[in-house]
Amino acid sequence: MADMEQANRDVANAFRLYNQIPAMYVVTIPLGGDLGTPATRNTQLRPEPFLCKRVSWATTGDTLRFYGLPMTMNASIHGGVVECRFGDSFTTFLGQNAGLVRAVFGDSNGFLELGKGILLQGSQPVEVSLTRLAWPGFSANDEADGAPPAETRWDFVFHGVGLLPQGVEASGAAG
Amino acid sequence: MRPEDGYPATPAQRHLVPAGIGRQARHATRGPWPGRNLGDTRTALDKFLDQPEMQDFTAVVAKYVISAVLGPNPGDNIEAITQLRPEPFVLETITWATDGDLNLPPDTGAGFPFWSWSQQGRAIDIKWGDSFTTFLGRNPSLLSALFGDSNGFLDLPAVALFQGSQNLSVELRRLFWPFQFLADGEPTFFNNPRNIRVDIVFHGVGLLPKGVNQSGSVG
Repeated sequence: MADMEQANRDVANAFRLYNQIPAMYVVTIPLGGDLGTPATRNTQLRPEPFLCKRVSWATTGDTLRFYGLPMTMNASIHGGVVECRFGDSFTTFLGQNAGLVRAVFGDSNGFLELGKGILLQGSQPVEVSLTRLAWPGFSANDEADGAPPAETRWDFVFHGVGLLPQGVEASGAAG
Repeated sequence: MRPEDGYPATPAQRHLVPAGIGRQARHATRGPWPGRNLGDTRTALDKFLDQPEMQDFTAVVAKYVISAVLGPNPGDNIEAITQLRPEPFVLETITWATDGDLNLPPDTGAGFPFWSWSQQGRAIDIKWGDSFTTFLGRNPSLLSALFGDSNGFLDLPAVALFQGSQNLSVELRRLFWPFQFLADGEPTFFNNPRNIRVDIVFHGVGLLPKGVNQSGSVG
């Protein structure tokens, strides 16, 4: 805890000359039901630098309609069968190794704090790439059942602050 | 069991208190909670109000509710607004919930609406903003993705300052009705499509001139 508090003080000191305004960016990815084909989408950042502090996500796949099982689950079904990569123009954050969405971003019952945050240059895309590994279902009497494979929507929201020069209160304002 | 972990304070009852601080800890950005938090004991609002230019204001608790009724058909949408009071509003936290995650009579079904998370929040997308700013730009987001799931609340990484006497607005759009599963290979509704109510609550403080302790007071 002491390290985290120091990290937060370091971040606050590093950006004390900036006006910090809340910023949220959404990357929406339609992911098909077929296996192995990556789907990649991005969102363009505004001109000011973006300090990303948190990522939250959800998918339409975690509804009854797409897993077809009339029971509740305590964890994301689809997040356990889809892997992701994410990054900006400069950095692939996971390197060469994709990660299951649930593993990388935490389960979609909450959100993932990034601690010190990730500083992203403005005016560039933030990108997320997904690959489906399986279509979840259940079997009864050795027969596969549940909803058939279909396209699901995945939204990743990057939360943080935009860093504006002192005296500039709104993104895009001239002065 | 620490007193700050919630009310009532007995371990046996702890899991029955959804508003308990201990259960909300994972969604909070402040507080000395172990685990998923930033470890900072001062909130973004605390830091904002500590600024020299904020010392001329009295901060009063402010909460605004936007309540929207959304239809059950794919493509149904609704825009709902709330009017801010005259004083500036500093937004710190957003919470939301819907009655759409409940199995209400006279719906048929097994009657166990025992969801661990919001089904509706994954079948509805949202845009929000005020008169000046559309916070998500052109890209709506799934409700559960943006505000976290309706099991808790979301602290904003930095406060948002809104001019008074303007509208906060929310636009919701239904993508599909989520309560559908296959029974014997046939699509079946677990609970029937209907209008649902979605409430989104904006929590923060109103900034009043020094010496004015109530919104609407002249002096």
